[in-house]
Parts: sequence; structure tokens; C-alpha cells
Amino acid sequence: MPTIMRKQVILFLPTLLLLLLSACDGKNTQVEIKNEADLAGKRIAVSTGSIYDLELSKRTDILLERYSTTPDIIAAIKSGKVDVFKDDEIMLSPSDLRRHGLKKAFLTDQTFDVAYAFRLDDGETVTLFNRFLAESRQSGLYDEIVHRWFGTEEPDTVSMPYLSQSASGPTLFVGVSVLMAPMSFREGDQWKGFEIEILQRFAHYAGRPIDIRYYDLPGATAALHSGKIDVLSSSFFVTEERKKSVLFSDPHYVCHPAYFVLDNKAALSLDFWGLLKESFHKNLIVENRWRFIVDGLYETLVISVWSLLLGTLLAALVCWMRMSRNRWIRAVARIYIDFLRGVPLLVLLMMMFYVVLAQSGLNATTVAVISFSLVFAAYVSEMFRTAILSVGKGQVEAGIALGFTPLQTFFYIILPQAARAVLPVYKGEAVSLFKNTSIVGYIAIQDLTKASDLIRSRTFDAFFPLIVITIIYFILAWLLGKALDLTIKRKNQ
Amino acid sequence: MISVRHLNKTYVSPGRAPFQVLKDINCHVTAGEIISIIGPSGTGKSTFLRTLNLLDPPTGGEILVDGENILAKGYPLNKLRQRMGMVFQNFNLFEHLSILDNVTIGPIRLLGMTRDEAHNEAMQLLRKVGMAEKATAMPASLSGGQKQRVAIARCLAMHPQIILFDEPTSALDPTMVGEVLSVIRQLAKEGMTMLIVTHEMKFARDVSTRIFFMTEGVIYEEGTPEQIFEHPQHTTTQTFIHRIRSLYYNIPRADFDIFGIFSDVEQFCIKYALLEQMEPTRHIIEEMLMTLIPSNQRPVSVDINYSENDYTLSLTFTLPAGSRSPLIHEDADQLALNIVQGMCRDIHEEQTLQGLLIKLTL
Repeated sequence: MPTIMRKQVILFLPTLLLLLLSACDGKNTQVEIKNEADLAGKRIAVSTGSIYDLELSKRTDILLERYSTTPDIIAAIKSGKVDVFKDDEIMLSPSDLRRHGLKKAFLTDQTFDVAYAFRLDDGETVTLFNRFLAESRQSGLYDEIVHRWFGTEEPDTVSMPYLSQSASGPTLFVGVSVLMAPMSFREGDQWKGFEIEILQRFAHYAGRPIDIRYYDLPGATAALHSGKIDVLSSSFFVTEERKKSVLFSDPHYVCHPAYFVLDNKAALSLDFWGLLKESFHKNLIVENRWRFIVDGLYETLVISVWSLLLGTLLAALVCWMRMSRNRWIRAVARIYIDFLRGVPLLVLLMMMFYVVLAQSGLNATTVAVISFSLVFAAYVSEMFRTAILSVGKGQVEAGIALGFTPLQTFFYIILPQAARAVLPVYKGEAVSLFKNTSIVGYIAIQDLTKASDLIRSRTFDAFFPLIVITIIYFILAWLLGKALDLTIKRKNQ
Repeated sequence: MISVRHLNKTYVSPGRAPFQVLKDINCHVTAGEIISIIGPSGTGKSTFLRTLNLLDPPTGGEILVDGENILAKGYPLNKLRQRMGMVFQNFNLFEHLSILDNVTIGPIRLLGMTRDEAHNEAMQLLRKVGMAEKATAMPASLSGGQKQRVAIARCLAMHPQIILFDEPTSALDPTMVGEVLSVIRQLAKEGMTMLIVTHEMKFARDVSTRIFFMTEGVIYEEGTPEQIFEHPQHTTTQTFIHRIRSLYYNIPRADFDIFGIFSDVEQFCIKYALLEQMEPTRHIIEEMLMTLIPSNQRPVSVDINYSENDYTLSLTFTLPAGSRSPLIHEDADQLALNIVQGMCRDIHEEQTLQGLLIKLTL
């Protein structure tokens, strides 16, 4: 390891460890909450846009904090950012509660119907599903499933019953946007959980092969509307408003929300190193969870490398167009550059996946490579252009006067000098492209960042997976910069 | 070898009146000739040179090289340029290549020489211009004179039949002019055909077989060095030959860069060994422009001329036509006026079509 890198890592690690420490210290004083009235003045965490969000935002005597996933909420309560949170009673098993030092404050008297969401025009599938559900309830199969997933203290350890995949019929594409035992979660490559089992049994019943993918909630609804998925399994509450945009099945589950608080008696007594060791074991070793990291890293690298190569080629083309003598070609290039630089990367990515290329049949990784290449080209083409312009006019004239053709002059004289001028900025842009790939989770790609989310959804450990991927991103970005330096150096020799 | 017939060059830029740089130029160059092109700045000398290898394509007329019209469609221009070398005012060495690579890139890429052949020959050429020991250096580490010598070697490496020199010493410090000129003299001895645009009168006179005097886009007078320098036929040529050293400024607006002018004047005086006149010249310019000529009288131009024949330095200020003389103005700053008058041998004022001329002779 070169000295300079060692130095950077040495400076970097303590910062991360401090972060970890401060997180562990964030325990709050005991909060006594027995009923709705006790909630007054408390900080309450809910999932953004959930029913609880809607309901509690009407109360003026509380402080509402919105988080996107349950692991985030648990991390927030553990670090003392909130006092209490509201969620389905069943979502946290007694063993989960113990593990995180939480306890149930009280159970509300509310109930909500939970159902799967289908496309509005897909009444046929819904009818079939409802018939399947009704028959299962009669035959006792439904009770068996309920018992399997809800009748245990350790839903993580339940194994999925084996069902043979139907080979014929159109594939049933399922989008899952909740990652929580016992409803739906992943163990290694395998999907498990109550909602998953029902859908798998339904696919079997309907004679269709099944394909399950994870989608973020905002992306998931878009995926449903654009036809990328047929069923959205997201522990959806049936509401009148939602009925306008999706078709709900008959409810397959009834939810009883409860409030949860920290249980100080169960506070962990491990020291810092013990905590670190336990985190390492829990987040990376158990169930081979490091596989998520490796697979995610592969996905991140594939997208980065392809985007870098294609983006650079496209940048050369756009740069050529931008410097063309034909003013129409120039105008096209300028509009291209202005447009792509003016649209947020994430918005562009979602647009490409859910709207522009929705019907193209391209997989998400390809769409990501296309989107990143387009944006990269828009930025880098302008860098190329200024670098080329920075090479003096005299150099061109000297080349031409010596007897080189304009093309030869460009390749022998201009390009080597422009490449040297562009390298520092190009390197920065390449590293930033690499880092920006962390948003591909929005179009259901399990990259490095998503890998940490997947692990967090199982372990509810907010920090450790994040720290692991932070280090990986940092080292890779550094290596990428070094690699580019070397390429250019060799080219100049 | 080269025949130029009715050559015209007009710059057309949108929103401006077309500007004709070259007007109906006719001339003939035969092998072995060394022709210096002299004349005031901005009269098309460089442009003329650059039209010959089509770096600036002419807008009319024809150029025949060995009897072939090089303006004809499909004429192999690259081949022509390989035979017609060019040395630039700003050297234009390839910044990313070492001295040796600057010299060998042409022969290797264009003449198909092997790396070894090109290398050996380049070293010979570099020895010839005295730059062999710098073969591995990069251009950025060389002085102007050294760069220009390398540029000449780069040119020679292509075995040109003719070399066009575009003010090869104008961008050099006075101390470096000599080293470049002696390399060119050496080439002249070897019988290289050359066209040289230059402001070095003594050099032009010594080295040339013929002189073109160009002004306002035409070859105004041509002849042997003796004819042009000793017995110029036309008055314009005479004035030019006599007052060749000049510095000219046009100040269109109230604000201007007085320190830039000072620094140029300083350079000018050092260049022509006018150290005693440096301070007076600066004082006169300062008093005239800052005090005596009101800032609403614009444009003002300043023409600093030094005649090497009778060794007189004069400053000519041109004010807009109809301006009142700032020197006999009743409100004129007396102190400034005294300074100016005290430093000048002669003050001459004249109303002309161009405006009010005030000529101050030191």
C-alpha cells in the first residue's frame, strides 16, 4: 500500500469509529407511554407517506419524524433521535424486540386491511387471486401459512416450503418494497416471508413462473403502472384514495398497529470492541451476508466501467458535434448538453427506466448504463472541448504547415496535448460518476449501496453496513483516480 | 518555381465592411533566390506569406508552383506543404514533444523514415543549429532563440525546396536575434531558397538577393537590396526606409493603459539604444495624454518614430479633426506645457484630413 493511501486511511478510520461510538451512546431516558394521551409532546417516527403519517400529522401536540424504512426508524429510536414509533404489531417479533432493546408501549384499537396491489386494468388476475385466497381459507392452507410465519418467535429461522416453479404461462412479476420479517425478507438469494409464500402459492395455483424483485416504494408504484411488475407486495393498507390508482385484492391480512419504545432494562452491556465484533458477525458473517456486498459491488463496478467507456466515446462524438462547422449539428449538441446538465441525475434515471425506456425490454442495469453515459458525455464533452481549445492555434498551424492533414494534426499534435490538459477534470468527473451510481437502487438494481440497505433491513444495524460500504467506495474511488493517472502517463510515453 | 498572379485576399466578417489585405499581387520566385519582404506593420506581409502555403487561402488570383495551380481542386496540398517549410514568429514547437521528437515527427510520420534514420538526421540538423545538446529537453525549457533554431531544424528535416520565414525574430529578446539570424545566414550560404518577412533591415540588406517592399496590400517596390536601400524610387519606400523604427498607439476611449505604453516605450528605447531619450519620451507621453489633451478628445493616436538615418526621435499625436491645439490653449496646464516644450527641439502642428497632427521632435 503506497504511503499516501495509508495516511488517508489512517486519518479516515478514527472519524468513522467516532461516528460509531456516538451512535452507540445515544440512549435516551425511559419514556413511560401507556395510551394515546401520553404521546403528547413526544417525538414519533413513522414511515413517510404511510397511513400512520397521514393520521398522526393531524395531531398538533406531537413532533412527527418521517423515515423511509423501518430499519431507519429503529436506528433513529436507538440513537435517541425519536422517543416512540408506530408500526404493525406483528412486524417486530419478541426476539427482534429483545435484540434491539425495544418493547411494545401499547396496542392501539385500530385495524387496517392489508392487500396486494394490481394494475387497474388487470381484473382478471385479481379475480383469480381472490378465488385462490378464498379456497385457501377454506382448505386451511391460509391458517397453515399464518401459523408458520406469525406463530413463531423467530420468523428469521422459518424455512420456506418448497414449491416447484411452473415453466409454462407468462411470468408473474412481483415487486416487493417491504423488507421486514415476517412479511417479506431475503436470506441470501432466497425470498422468504408471509406475503412471499402467499404469492408463490398463487403463482403455482395459476400455473405461472414467478419473478420477485425489490423496488423502492416510489419506484414500485411507477413500475406497476408501466407494466414492469404485475403485483406489488408492500403490506399495502387498503384506502379509498389508493383504490383510484391500483386494484386491490381481497385483504390477505389485518394489521393491528402498536407503539414501540426503548426498553432500557434490556440495554446492551457490551463494550465498544464487543459491539464492533458483534456488528461484524451479524452484518457480514451470518447467512453469508457478505454476499450482498460482493454482488452489489459487482453491479456497481459493471455500471461504472461501462458508463465510463460508453460515456467517454459519446463525449468525443458530442464534442465533435459541438465543434462542427455546421450550425445545426452544433445546435443539436448544445441542446443535448444543456438539457442533460439541467436535469437531476436521479430524475433522469427514473424517467429513463419508468417512462422513456419502459417498453424497451432493456434490463435495469442497461438502462442505468445508458443514463449515466448520457449525463457523463454531456459534462465530459465540454471538458474535451475546452481542452482542445486550450491547445494554441499555432500548434495546428505548425502541424498543417509541416504537411500533416487536418486529421493527422488532430491525432498527433492536438489530442496528446488536450488529453494532458483534460486529465485532472476528467478524473474528478469519472470518480463522481462512480459515486453517483449509488442511486441505482431507485430502479431496482442491487448495487453496493442497496446491499447495505438489504443487510440493514435484516439486522436493523444502521451504521456498520454503511461504514463498510463507505470504506469500499472510498478505496475504489481512490484506485480509479490512480488508474486514470497511469493510463495517461503510459499514453504520453 | 513560384509564380503569383493577381493574388487577392479579402477578410469578410459578418457585421463589418470587408477588408482587403492583399490587392492584386504579382511576383515570381526562382530557385536559389532569397527574398526579404519588408514594410510597415499590418500591410499584409505575413498574410502574403501565409497564402503561399494556403494557411490563409487567397480569395482571388492564382499561385503556380512548378507550373501547377495549387488553388485547383484536388491539388495535393499536404505534399506541397512538405516541400514548402514554414518558420513562425511564435516558433510553434509541439509542446508535448521533446526537441528531438519535434524534429523527427515529420520525417517519421510523413516521409516514412525509420526511427533510426530520422533520429540520426535530426541530430545532424540539431548540431547544425547548435541545439544537439538539448535534444532530450522539452520546448518549455528553452529560450526564444533556442526554440526558433529548433523550429528551423524541424523545417529542414522535411527537406523543403523553399522555406517561408514569418518574422522569425520579432518575438525574440534583442539579445537572441543574432543567433537566429546567423542560422538563416548559414542557410543562405548553402543556397536554400527563402522568403523572409522581417523588420531587421541590416539583415535583409546583407542576406537577400531581392527585396519586396510591401505596403497597403501591394508589392509597392521591388529590387536588389542596393536599389531599395540606397535608391528607393518611391517616396513611401523612402520614408519607410528612413523611419523604420516606430511604435504606434491608438487610444479610442478616455481610459487607457498608460503603464502598458510606458513599458513598450522602455522596450523600444532599449532595443534601439535610446536610453537617454527614454525618460523624456515617457514624460512627454504622460504630460500630453494625462494633462494636456482633455480626455474627451478621442480617438487620439501616438506615433513614436525613430529614424536611424539622422538619429532623430519624434512623437506624433493625432487628435480628431477640428480639435483646438492643446498646446496653445489658454487653460493649458503651464507646468505640463513647460515640461513638454523644454524637452523638445521642435514642435510642429498641422491640420490635415486625418485630424490635428502635433509632431514633437526631441
